[in-house]
Amino acid sequence: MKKTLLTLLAAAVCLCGAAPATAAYPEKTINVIIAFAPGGPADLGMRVVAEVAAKQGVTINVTNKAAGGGSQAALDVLKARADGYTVLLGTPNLLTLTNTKNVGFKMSDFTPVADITNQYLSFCVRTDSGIKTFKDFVELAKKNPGVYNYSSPGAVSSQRLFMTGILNNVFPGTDMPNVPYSGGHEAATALLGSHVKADFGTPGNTKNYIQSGDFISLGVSSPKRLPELPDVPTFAEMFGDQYTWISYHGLFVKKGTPMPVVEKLSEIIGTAMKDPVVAQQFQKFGVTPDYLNPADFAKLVTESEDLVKKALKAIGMF
Amino acid sequence: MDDIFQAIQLTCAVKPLLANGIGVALGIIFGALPGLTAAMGVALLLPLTFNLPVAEAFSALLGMYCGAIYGGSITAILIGTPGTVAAAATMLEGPALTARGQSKKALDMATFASFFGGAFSCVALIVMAPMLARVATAFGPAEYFAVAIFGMTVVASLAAASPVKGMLSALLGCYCATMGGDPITGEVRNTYEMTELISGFTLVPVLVGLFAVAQIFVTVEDSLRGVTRDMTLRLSREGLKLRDFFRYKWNMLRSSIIGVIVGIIPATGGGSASYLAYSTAQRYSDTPEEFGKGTLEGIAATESANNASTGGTLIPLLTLGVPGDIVTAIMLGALMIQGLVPGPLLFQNEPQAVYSIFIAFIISNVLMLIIGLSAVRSLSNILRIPPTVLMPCVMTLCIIGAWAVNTSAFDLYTVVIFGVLGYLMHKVGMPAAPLLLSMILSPIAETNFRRAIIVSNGDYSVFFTSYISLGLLLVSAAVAAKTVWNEVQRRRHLAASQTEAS
Repeated sequence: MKKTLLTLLAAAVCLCGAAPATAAYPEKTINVIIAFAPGGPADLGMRVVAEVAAKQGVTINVTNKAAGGGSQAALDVLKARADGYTVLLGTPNLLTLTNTKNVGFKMSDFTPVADITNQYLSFCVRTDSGIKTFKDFVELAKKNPGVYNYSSPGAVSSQRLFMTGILNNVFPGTDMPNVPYSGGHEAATALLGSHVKADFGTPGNTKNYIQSGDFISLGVSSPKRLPELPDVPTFAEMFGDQYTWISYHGLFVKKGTPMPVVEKLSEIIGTAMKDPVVAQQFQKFGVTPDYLNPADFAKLVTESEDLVKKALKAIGMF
Repeated sequence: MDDIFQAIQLTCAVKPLLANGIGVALGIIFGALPGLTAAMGVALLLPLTFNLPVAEAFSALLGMYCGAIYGGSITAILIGTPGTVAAAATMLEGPALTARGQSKKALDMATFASFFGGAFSCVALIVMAPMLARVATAFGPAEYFAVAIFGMTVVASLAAASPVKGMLSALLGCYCATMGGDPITGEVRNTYEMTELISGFTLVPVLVGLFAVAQIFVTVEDSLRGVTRDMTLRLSREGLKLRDFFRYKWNMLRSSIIGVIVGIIPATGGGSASYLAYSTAQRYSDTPEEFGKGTLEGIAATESANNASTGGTLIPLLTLGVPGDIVTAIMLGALMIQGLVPGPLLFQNEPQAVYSIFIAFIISNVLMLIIGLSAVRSLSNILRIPPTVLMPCVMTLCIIGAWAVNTSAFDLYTVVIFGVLGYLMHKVGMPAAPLLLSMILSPIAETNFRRAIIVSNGDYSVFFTSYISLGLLLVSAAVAAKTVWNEVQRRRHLAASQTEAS
């Protein structure tokens, strides 16, 4: 008798625990783990969004875990339950990682939730070099193999992959070496000191040098011309629509998280991002709020993965 | 001039002064606790400054920065474990002075020297910022390589007592530094299939393990073997007299200059600055053989250099938007939040904000001196705690500190691995400082060597065609040669005196 009662009690307790968490999501603090180091514009942007989300009665706690190139953050999210309370803020860097080495997970282990901000690539040269268009630069590189180089923020950065794609398909046989640095700031400084001939970075890192007239941008990887660089052609304009690169910074949850939870989280973020404070702050950091819902964001991620795989193959790392 | 007065008004108001003071106090604590670093402190304060006006925000952040770089010396001197990377060099002299009962003198020296270095860098910042900014951009891959090689000659001088062991230590450091992603190709190397090693070892856990934890193991072994430390070791009453302090003025000036320049060079900071200054001080000293046995001269050099680097790092940050070290990289975020775009235009567009930052920095250094001097008295009571109680506390703090960097379990393993390694090295008489310095410098040397070759398209003469690079390489060669020569001479004398005796 006692045993049956106890069993029933235990079952009741278990059933209570298994009650769908979606009923009143979010009931507790949502933890966002950022897969890169603090202080950068995207990191600051996420923190602003988290603060604004508090207005909806939702508490979002943001931490960074840049270890392992962001793989530790991803693994942490995968170790937690698929209940929407542990969320990853990731970038295409993770795509590069997962496709070049065995890091213990794949991007398909995640469900994309929302995009927060996109960064694009910008190719700059010094104004005093006299080079006016990207094609001119490549022509010079063809005539002087190995001399015309470009700095990039990392050894296997999006910039390098993108450039390899362009060179291999549009200008085959051009020797334009990549000089990797550890970060956009370093890469831009290298151009400032004329140690390299070009810097392939982001508009954010080169904004003040373009404003001061030291640099000019010869091309951006966004689908349309950027409002802050209206005279700069996009690579898509120059060479075709497939030459677009969007470095997304978006939220992912573990695959298996119930769809209602995913949609609610996306909604919360979307509403927060419509707040004028977000637009204001984002502008200060030099980024734009680029909210995408789960479906659109998933599409972007898949497209990005295809691009990354192709580029990695081209440089022999895939 | 108007802007300067406005800035003074802004930074000397009650709230910013309070923010500054709290920043300094917290900074000293962060710096003193092993494992908690200046970068961490600034990163933690950063979100709190989101909504504060410029003067207040930077008063707090700069206070934290100055306090932390100084604070590391306290534990380095009193307990023999460095609170921050910047204080690792202070550990070469600090504990020896404490053992001799001169801890208060050492602490006073550290406090005054830190203030001197910080104040000097303030002046450099204000007077020469735009000019010095050009120095930051003049450094390309070849020059960075030469700087790293020059830094490695410091390793040679640190290992003078046992060159072979020192060399081994340095090579071990080089190997540890190669673990992770190849900086040029991105390929992962020497990670033994561990995904956690993709970004290599995190420096703070290595520091904490190699110096703090290893020291704890040694102390544990000592107490197990019944070797007791003199527990009546109170803080010596005798402080530093001003006259003694002035004896080291040239040393401190020279070390501060080194500190500012190293600070200006992006990607190098307090750690490298203090080692370089220490090694240079030894070379110019009247009593070089005293170094390592507990000389105030050494502390004067290391502490003025690392605080001088704080001002140095601010120069490229403000003038070019290029952070001079990790801490200023985080402060870049603070500037962006305030809507200040660092770079050539900042001084023109926002002079008031820039002056506010300068003045807040001066105030931070003054507050650091005041708080530091008063804190020394109470902090010294740590010495009264018996090792059996103190060491577990320090160990706990080390673990917390190492965890705080990345919340990564692997970092904790790093602490243990390097702790054991440090202990073993201590037992065989292998110096640990070369390992640490190698881990910091060899990536800089390797990466920039390869970058320079890419840029020069395979032309190796690039290292000799730049004045800066050529100069530094020649000096390094000369220093290395002299170190070898000194060692040869020493052995000759030793052999001669031995044959005399027999």
